[in-house]
Amino acid sequence: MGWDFIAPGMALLTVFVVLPTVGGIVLSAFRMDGIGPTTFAGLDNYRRLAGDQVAWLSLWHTLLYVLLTLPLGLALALGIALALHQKWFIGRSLVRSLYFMPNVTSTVSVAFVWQWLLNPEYGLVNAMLRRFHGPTYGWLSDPNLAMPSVAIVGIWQGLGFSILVFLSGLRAIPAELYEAACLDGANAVQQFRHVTCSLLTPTLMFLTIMGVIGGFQVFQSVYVMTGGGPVDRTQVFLYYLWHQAFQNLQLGYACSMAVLLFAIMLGLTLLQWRFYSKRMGVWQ
Amino acid sequence: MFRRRRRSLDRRSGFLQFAVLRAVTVVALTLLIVRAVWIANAPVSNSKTGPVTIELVVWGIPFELALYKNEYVPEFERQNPDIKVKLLNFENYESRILLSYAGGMMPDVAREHFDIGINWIHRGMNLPLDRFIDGPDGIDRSDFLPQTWAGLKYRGKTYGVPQDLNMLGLFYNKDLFDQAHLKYPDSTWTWADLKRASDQLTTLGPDGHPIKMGLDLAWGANTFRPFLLEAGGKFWEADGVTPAFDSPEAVRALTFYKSLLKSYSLTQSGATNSGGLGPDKFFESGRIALYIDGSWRSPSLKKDAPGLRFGVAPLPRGDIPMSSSVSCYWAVSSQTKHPDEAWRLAKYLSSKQALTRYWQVLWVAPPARWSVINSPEYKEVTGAGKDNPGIDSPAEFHEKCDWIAQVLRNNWTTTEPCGPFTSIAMAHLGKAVDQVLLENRDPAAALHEAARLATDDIKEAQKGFP
Repeated sequence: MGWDFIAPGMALLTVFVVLPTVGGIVLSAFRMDGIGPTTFAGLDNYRRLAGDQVAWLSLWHTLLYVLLTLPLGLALALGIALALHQKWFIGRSLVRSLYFMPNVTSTVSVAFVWQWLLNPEYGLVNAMLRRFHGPTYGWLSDPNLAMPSVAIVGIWQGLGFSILVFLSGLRAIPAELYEAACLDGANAVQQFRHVTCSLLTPTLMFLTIMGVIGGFQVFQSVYVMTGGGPVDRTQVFLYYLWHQAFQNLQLGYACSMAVLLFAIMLGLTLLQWRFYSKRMGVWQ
Repeated sequence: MFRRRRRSLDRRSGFLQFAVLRAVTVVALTLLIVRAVWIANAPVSNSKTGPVTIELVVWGIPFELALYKNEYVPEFERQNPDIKVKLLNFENYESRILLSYAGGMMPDVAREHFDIGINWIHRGMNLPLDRFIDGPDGIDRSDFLPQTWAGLKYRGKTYGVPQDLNMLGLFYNKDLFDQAHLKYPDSTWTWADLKRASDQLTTLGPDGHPIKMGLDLAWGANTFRPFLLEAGGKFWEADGVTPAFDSPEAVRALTFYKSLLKSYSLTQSGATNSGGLGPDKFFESGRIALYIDGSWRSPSLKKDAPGLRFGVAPLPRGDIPMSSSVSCYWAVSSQTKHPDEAWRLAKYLSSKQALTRYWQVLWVAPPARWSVINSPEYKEVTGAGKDNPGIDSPAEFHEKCDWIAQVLRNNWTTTEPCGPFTSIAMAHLGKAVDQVLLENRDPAAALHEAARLATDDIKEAQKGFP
């Protein structure tokens, strides 16, 4: 009877996740363009990947994107969630909805809007800077500013989701714990550190894991806003993978890149799991 | 006890049978649905007595599609009552074509362009058409622009029929030239003239911010290519697969290209071209005096900036006058079950009649036939209503379109950069251009590295070729 209930879900998961994953791993050992004959390549694709400077550069850029978006995004979200959690905050639902709106907006639309905002000549950001006689910047054209600009968009779009999760985490903390801490003489900072932060650890773990996975999957905003440029500075791993697969028609090679990404994500997730499990173990 | 156990076993076996039955039903239903979808999407089968149905696939915006839907298809079906045409419009064109080919259901006739289509030709996606072209129901090859055939030939066979030739030209804002008391650009212009005029037409505000700029164009490999050719350089070595864009001519061209863009361009990198806020918008708003773009830009400029007085001239010459072009053509799928009917459609779509209408209605690119370009109808550009305004007077035709025939008659354009690995080479060339413009890298070093990396990638890509 149990199998009956999970069968539809299992079928979907098998067809759209398990089979493509296994297929991808298998195809990474082949040379394939989707048109001509597929030939066995053994470990050639992986050998090529090891020596592909652009692939490693794009991996570094992806990591940089994660490092730029995740800590800042989580810190901002926690700050806003703490403010929204206060009883004195009026219009909490409205603000929460407003923050969540970018999250439910299509990334392509968001990227287009930001591209306009950051346009060096017609963009609102430079127009404001110009109005106040400040220096203007090529936000997406300056090789040093392009990645931070894309990261800002990522933070902005993901903020609402993190706030929502933090808020539910904050609500789950029993008020008695704060009362007890207060009776023990803990000040606000100590309460935040020893009660709030400790009890938010599972929430933080969830958001960090999701953030790392989401960060490594960054593609649409780069595709729309910069196309991987300027000078490869926003060339992220998935964009390069897509380029190899659908521009250069090297599907086997792209599969080997996907396998590498899968291995990295799995490794990072396990590491995070271990790190947070220890912390949660201490707390429990 | 035993009976209870037996009842329990019966019940479990009943559940099992029920579950199996349900699973079989689900699988059967799924297969039925898949089959139904397959049949619905499959090319329509043709009975022996009824007309043959073939599929035609194109890309384009509504008024372009209207030309196919309202004129080409009905007229072709009228002329060929034994053939019905199913018109398809693919979004994400390249991916859809590849997917449909991989699924064994590529439409019979497809519109393709050199940038990607040559790769498809070399991979065997198109049918060789020589027996049709040179057969009794064939076409006169010499009536077509010679550049349009170049990319369509592979291992001695021809894999398409040309439709048009997209070229780059020099757009100029007549008001800004008039204000500066400068002569409009023409075919005698050189790089020196271009630089001098750009300099004279650039106006900076008191804060140093540009109010008007002399020249703009989309930064990158596409717009650098003509400068490379005009400097006497080549994109490929004679083998067509080894990049040659690191020659001394290329270095000289890139040095000049940089001097233009760093001094006169409002656009700051290729990365800001997309999103509809690129140099075309600067030109439309009257902030740019000179602008390099394709012939296809004229109708949209006229529509989007009705008050803009502009003309177009051939690109200023370097050591030689030359520009790079890309051609669109009609291909017959190697998977077609109706090659004869598909050929008749491809032939019709490239006929003098169809190409005349193509130019008159769309005027995005010159038609591929001399007989159309040399005809009086060529000068009667009607447009497609408010979506695509036409040409109002012979004087307007002269300033916006005469350059095209001039370039073609003088053979000032080439499709030499187009090949099966152009996209790979262009990606590396684009990076080199960006490095020189944005990071001040030495042009020779950047181009050498780009050529080396492109060569490596092309060698790798060649392994997958049949």
